[in-house]
Amino acid sequence: MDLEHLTPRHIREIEPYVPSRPDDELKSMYGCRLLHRLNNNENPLGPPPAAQAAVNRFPPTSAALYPSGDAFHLRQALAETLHMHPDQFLVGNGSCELISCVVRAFCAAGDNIVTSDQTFAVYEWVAQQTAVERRLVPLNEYTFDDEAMLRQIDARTKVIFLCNPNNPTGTYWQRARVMQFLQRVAGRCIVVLDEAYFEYVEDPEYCDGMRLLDQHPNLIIFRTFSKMFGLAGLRIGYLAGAPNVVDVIRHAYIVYSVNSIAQAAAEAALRHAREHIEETRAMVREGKKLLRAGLAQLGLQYLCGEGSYCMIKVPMSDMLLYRRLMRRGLMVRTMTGFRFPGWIRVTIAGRAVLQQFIEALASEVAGPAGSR
Amino acid sequence: MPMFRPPQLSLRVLRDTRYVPAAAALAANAGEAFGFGEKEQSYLRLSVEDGLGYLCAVADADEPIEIEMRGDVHCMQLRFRCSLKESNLRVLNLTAKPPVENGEATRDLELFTVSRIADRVWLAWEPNGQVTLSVVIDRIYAEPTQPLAGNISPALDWRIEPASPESIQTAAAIAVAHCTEQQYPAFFRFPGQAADVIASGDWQAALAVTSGSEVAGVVLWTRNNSRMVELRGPLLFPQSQPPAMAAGLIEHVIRNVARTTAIGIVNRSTGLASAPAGFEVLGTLAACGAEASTVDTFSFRGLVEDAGTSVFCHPELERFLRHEYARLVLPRKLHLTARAERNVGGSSVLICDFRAGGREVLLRPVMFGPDACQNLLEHQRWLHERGVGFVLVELDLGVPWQTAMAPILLETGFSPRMVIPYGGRSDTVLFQYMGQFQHGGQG
Ligand SMILES: Cc1ncc(COP(=O)(O)O)c(C=O)c1O
Repeated sequence: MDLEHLTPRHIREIEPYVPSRPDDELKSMYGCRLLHRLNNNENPLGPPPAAQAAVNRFPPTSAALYPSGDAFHLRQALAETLHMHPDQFLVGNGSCELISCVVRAFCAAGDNIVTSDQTFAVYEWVAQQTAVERRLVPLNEYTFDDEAMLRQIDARTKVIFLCNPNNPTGTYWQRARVMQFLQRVAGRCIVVLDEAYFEYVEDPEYCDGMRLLDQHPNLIIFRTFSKMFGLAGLRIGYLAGAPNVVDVIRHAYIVYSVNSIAQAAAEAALRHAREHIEETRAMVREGKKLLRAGLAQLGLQYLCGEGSYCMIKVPMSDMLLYRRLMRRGLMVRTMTGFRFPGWIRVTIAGRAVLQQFIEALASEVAGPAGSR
Repeated sequence: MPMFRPPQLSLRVLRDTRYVPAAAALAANAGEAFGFGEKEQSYLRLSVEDGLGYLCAVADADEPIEIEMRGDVHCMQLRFRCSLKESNLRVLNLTAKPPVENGEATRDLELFTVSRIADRVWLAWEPNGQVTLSVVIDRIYAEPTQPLAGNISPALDWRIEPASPESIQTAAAIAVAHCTEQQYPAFFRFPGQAADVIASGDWQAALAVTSGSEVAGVVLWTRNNSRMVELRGPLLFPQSQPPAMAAGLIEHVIRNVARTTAIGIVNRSTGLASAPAGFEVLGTLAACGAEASTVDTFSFRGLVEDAGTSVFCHPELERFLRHEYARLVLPRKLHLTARAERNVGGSSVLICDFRAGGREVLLRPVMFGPDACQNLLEHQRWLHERGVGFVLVELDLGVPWQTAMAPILLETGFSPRMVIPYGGRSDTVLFQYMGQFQHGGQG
């Protein structure tokens, strides 16, 4: 078999994403007893109690049955909570799956997508996997650069991906800026606002994309249950858009990809999450305060905007620091893969863990380590 | 810049010498079609003729022999793939004498000829037991690079841009004037070759260009195997250019390779005891060609989070490896093994890779045999007689039989100098010959 001949070039050139190993394996490799995952922006408080109850209530025998193929009840719940129509939603196996649906729905060979070079990698990867051109516009002051992105749009541009707030920089566009951008795009292509961290945002001037859907039929909003709602392990996220746009995406949609437990847990989370959101926000608020103080004391540059994470510039290779922190049972995300070499991103966790992180960081950067 | 897509020709031939002339004729035509000169065409023809002739004698009769020819911008690559009935490939050793017995050429002469015509040969065993013999024939370039001396003033302001086949020639000419031969890649010696290597995409380069449009720095990188990036430079003209220029060039490289299949970057800082910022020092080698006291520093920059891996380890190397892995904070499980397993029986084969204008050679074992120790000593002697003062050996810790070489290296005066993470199938260990060269007759 000539595998090289069988494999399209664009597939061969993709870096296969190597997920981190399971905790037990990592602990054994790095020789640590406990491991705090501060690498994936998961919610350390877990899912809201109502979602936990929904998981517990799930009858094991129902595992034999296929789930609702289009998350019927969850879409009803979304429509009720967000005051929209159920057909304006598509639920996916994590919002990552929906990124892929959108690209496949709108892009053919020769088309392009526009996004940033220093943002969530999946937009870029999906484009690569589908042999669609990626136009990666550098951030400006760590923020998506509207002017430069507009300049990249041509007749073959089908989708623009904006990560708002941006993972990993925590920067974001306020409402006025988003509206102005949409006006200037003037319906020439689809604009995706990825609001994975929507529920964390504190700034009242932040743009809630759902409110703009009526005036901008080319707008699509992504949200996820992986972050604030603590359901990352069940893989569930959704998109919202104008009914006719969502209809088009349905052509590229994978039915039955979202399991029943995820649907039940997400619905419960959506309906009964006020307290959980408040608690999580309070934790993040306090955690950021703690981190800012600790990082300032260490004299380290950092970006700690909206979202449940903070990005820190470290005076050594981020990969080396990763290994050293792993030895201490702290797992952070290195930023070289986000094209921020020498930075790490840390998920905001509870006080005790963050305190431990700051102390570990202090002793790692204080040593003569430097670039060693 | 659109990537060059090299034309390719493949051929499956039955194991029958009657087809050798047809394959050789095709090779000659291919060389011409690939745009190479008469000399290179004849080398390709000869390589196919002798290579196939040899394989017809030793390959497994039931399977066809696969031949692949690829016309890159700066070289032609020829690959034979087949299963072997027997595997004594002794003549691939550079130390081997022409295989002639009682005035008669033996069957091995054909393989001997291929390996001597080629600019580089490589032998790889595939998991299914097939062997791939790769042969590279470089394009011949006539004009050596003219050094471009002259003072480049310290830059206050510069931009970093990808090098083109045109601009790399300027950088090469400046490098030849400002740097030692060990610092720049061999292809800088010919402007046409530098341009072709960049055009082919085999190497990429970035330049620091001053506001006065002068080239004040260059950095080069290549993927030397599927996972590792080799970084050369940055070279600054003069070396006293601001350190931020070097940092900017390196950051350019990292950002370029950060979301590719590469998992790390390895750098050799020639004549320097330190590594670029953000790189981890792997170790040093006595610097070749320079004063005795200077060293070359090897360093590493990971591009992905290290999830740990397993390596094979000979008991005699265990202390060194444990120490290095602890120092580098690399999570590794060591599988102790002293057995040679595969490839035993025939003769050992070491492939030579000459560097630094011929002053240094890197030996890599591609076959193990009971004569491994003797073979190594013969290589040392052979290289010493030809003035190659710096002898390195690289062992792949992902290949169990290679670990069996460790005690032999230690016995013959080699010292382990560093671990290169993921340098081969797994990590590799680089040994340098630290002993006295043994004088005396031919081995
Ligand atoms: C910006 C952004 N979008 C989407 C996702 C993925 O979400 P999901 O788990 O729903 O696939 C993430 C997760 O890290 C993210 O940071």
